[in-house]
Amino acid sequence: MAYLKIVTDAVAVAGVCTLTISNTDIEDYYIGDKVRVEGINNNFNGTHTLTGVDLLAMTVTYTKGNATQTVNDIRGAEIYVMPQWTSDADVLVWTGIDAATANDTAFISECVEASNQWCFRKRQEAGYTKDRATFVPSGDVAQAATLYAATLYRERGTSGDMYASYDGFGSQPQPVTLARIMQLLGCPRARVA
Amino acid sequence: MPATGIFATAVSTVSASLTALGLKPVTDPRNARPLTVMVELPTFDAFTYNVGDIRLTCRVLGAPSGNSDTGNYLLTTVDTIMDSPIAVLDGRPSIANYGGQDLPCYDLTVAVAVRRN
Repeated sequence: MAYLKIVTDAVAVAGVCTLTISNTDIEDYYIGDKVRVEGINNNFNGTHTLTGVDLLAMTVTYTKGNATQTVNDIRGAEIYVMPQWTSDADVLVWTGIDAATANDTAFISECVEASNQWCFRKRQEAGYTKDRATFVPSGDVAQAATLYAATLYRERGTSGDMYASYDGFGSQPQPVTLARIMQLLGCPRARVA
Repeated sequence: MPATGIFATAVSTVSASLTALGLKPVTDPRNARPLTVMVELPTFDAFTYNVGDIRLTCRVLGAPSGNSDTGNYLLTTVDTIMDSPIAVLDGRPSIANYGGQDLPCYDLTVAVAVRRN
């Protein structure tokens, strides 16, 4: 999870929520970032877009509902940024065909979120520590995120070697390789000592 | 995109009949797994533009490893389908491969007559 932080205090005033982040900096958080908040309560939890970041006070702000509440000394609450490097629409353009059912459409969203998180994490691990979660760094990274999401979508119901297809269509191998995705992400090969 | 037309109607009709028997039909190979019945794409002989003799292969999927545990389940399930309004023409034990997963199964050929309104 990108830039995972611990939340210690939460204040909501007429739906304007302010969270205090503990024991870590929040310089990786920007206004407009999409974040997920978990572990407080329904007045605060969920997916939101940041409307304010205060680096000195170590707080982030977003809006949700219309509640007024103060929760101090929270234990187990977290906030993290949700990268937005590819989207459901990008994946549908890539696959070139509509999803068969509403469940499949929902699964595309899950694959997109997984791909965004995975690609962001891989870039971080490879040393690209200044990536912004909300803006894709370059076209090749966008392509990689879309490619990985589409691959995850197409892999459902398989062992990972070939696609699940009707009996009359035979067994079709999966042509997309992880090496291609890592190449587009700009991540080097794993080193062996 | 949902499928339409007489072939889609044939598939949904057989699926509904299997559901009525308490079975779990699936029409997408991505959802094929043990203890479901995979309804394959239809084959057909056309009489006219709006009347066809449609046949579907229904694959009753068992769980590996294909021993008598699987056999007992498959025989019981196939008998349930035979003892219903579904028009089973023939059946045979086989192995189904969906997405690289081999599953013991029974292939049933089911006949459906559909006319375009």
